Amino acid sequence: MRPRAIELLRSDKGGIAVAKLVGGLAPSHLELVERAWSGATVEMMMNLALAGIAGDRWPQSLHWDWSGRGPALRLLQATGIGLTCDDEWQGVMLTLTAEHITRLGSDAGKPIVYIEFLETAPWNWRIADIGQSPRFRGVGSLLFREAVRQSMREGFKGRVGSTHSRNQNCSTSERAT
Amino acid sequence: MTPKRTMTLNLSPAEMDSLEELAAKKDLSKTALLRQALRLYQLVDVRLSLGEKLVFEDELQKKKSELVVL
Repeated sequence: MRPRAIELLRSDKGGIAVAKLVGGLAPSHLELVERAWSGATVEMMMNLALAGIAGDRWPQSLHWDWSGRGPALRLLQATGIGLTCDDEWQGVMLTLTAEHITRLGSDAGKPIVYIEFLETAPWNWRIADIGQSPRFRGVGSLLFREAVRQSMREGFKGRVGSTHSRNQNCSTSERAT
Repeated sequence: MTPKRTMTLNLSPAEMDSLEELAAKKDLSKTALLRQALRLYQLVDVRLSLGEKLVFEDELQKKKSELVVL
């Protein structure tokens, strides 16, 4: 996939920013993502701990490690897609196309683009407990939309499935119309 | 963007019938179905290379059988 310019909502300063959607990520890209995000993740864990927030209210996937997902990209079924803006990774997604099928209704048994992992950068999470607002809004939705586009390109007619996401708002199997 | 490469595939009538039947069942074009088959074959081959087994299970009849992939 050729890098594509895309508009992103800037919620810290207001207005629109031009982001870049990058497909075909390599394992080295995921290592860069992990390095770029790990400092902010550690700082967030510290803030949550200092604020006395119970562990079960922490973002579910603080333990995720993108560098460990690099080997998956060697498979033909795997695709890594990232969103960059302000020279930083704002979100990353790993999709699979051969391991999962639709389980719903008349589409049961048909292939889907499965969102194995989707994560927005730690500074884009809304965490009311420590007063953090996202720097950019809609990163996860843009990546999800890209999964639907991938499904169309693959001939899967927009079928997309997912069970995980770090922004904890994505647990659906849906079909684009 | 990496350019795609093209190949010609000659199939027997039985193979083409199976391809068309599966493509219709999976709601895919024949090209998309073959891409899926290659992805799945590679996935199975990698998992088997790592020492894993591919097993089919019939829960009703309580049967398990290992599929040996060449």
